[in-house]
Formats: sequence, structure tokens, C-alpha cells
Amino acid sequence: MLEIILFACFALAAIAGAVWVILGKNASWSALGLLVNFCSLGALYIMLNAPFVALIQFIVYAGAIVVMFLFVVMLLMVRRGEGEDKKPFQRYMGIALAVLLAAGLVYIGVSVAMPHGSLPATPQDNARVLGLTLFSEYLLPLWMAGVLLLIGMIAVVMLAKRKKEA
Amino acid sequence: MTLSSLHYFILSAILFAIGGIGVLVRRNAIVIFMCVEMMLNAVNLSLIAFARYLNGVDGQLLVLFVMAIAAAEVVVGLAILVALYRKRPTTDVDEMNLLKG
Repeated sequence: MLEIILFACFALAAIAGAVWVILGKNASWSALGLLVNFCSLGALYIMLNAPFVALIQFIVYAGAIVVMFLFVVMLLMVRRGEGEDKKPFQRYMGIALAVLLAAGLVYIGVSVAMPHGSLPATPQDNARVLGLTLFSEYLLPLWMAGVLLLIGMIAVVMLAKRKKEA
Repeated sequence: MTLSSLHYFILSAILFAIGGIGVLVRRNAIVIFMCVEMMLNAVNLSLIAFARYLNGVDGQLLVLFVMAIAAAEVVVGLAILVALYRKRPTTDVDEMNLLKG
């Protein structure tokens, strides 16, 4: 019973954060909504026996990525906000398409057999199991992720470099 | 009544759709990026829920990789925004129409 109450609280918080992001007039308000969304998802990860991923969620998403968004919002200090919507029908089309998408996904979820394995006790060594699998079975993807991050870093330095005026 | 993977899947679908609404409706490029991150997180949630109800650990590892890719993506995306902002000071995606014929 407690589990259901906790799930409802965090699910509502996640949805509220998401709505806050898309309704926020100001991009820095949207970043705060994003923070709420990420934190409640991290709490749900803990409920799902994934404490290590929850930790990474808090550090990488709620920490680094939200701060980076805020940093860019502050850096750009956009004077002109969003212009008025020139094509209002796009808005209704977008909402209708997204609602259709959600309905389709829920329909698929209800009609397909979902996994419902019986719950083992909370794995006390979640991080150890993850690490062992990551460094044996998933070693090549791990290397590739490392190379990708390096390429991303170099790309950012090149993109952000101010070109010399000719 | 107990929680099942279906509950988490439905929550994930709702969050994904809200992110999709944001991408389609908002015109501010930074907010659009935030919504893309939200959609990635919604998928992560169902991956973790399936990993838990399949009694496996592979879903959690997949989430770790998704996070690595998302970090690279958001960094490059924001750098592109900053570079674009130097060319023309706006973040409104409707005004970024140089490729329009």
C-alpha cells in the first residue's frame, strides 16, 4: 500500500514537472520544472531496485544537465522571447498528435503481455553487479561511449571557439 | 492491487507525450531541448521498470548508455545554440529559416 502511495506521489510530481516545463514563460522556470521531473524520476528508480542508476540520475541529470541548461539560459539572456505564434494550427495539431501517441502507447501497453516477474529481495550489491556486467559483457559499448564523449568534447570546443574576424 | 510494470509504462507514455507536446508546440530552442531530455527520461523509466520486472540488469546498463549519449547530445546541442545565437540573436526556432527555399 505504501508503495502505491509513493508511486502516486512521485508520478504526480514527475507529470507536474513536465507540465511546468512546457508551460513556463521563462526558460529558467522551465529548467526548474525539469529539475522536479528528474528528481522524482530518480525517486522512482530507487523504488524500482535501481539505486545506482538513481544516483547517476541525481548527479548527471539533476546536477550537471540542469546546471548546463541554466548556464546557457543565463549566458544568452534572450532579450526577445518567443515571438507570437504565427501558425496557431500547429499548436492544436501538435497537441492532438501527442495525445494520439500517448493513447496508442497505453493501448499497446494494455494489450501486450507485460513482464511481471516476482520481486527478488532488494539487490544489496546493485553497483557491483552492474560494474561486473558492464566491464565484461558490455566492454565494447563502454569503450565506444567513451570515444563518443571525447568526440563530443572536441566538437564543443570547436563550436564554441570564436572565429577570428577576417 | 499491487504495482506492476504496466503502471510504470503508462507513466512513461504520459511523460513521453508531454515531452512531445513541448517539442511540437514551444518555439524556444532551449525549451525544446529540455523537452527532448524529458522524452529520453521517460524512455529510461520504462527501461528500468522492465529491468526490474524481468529480474535482469541489462535494462539498467542500457539506461547508463542512454545517459552518456544524452549528455553528449545536450552538450553539442547547446554549443550549436550558442554558435547560432552569435549569428542572429534569437532562440526562436521559427526565425532559424536560412535553409528555407
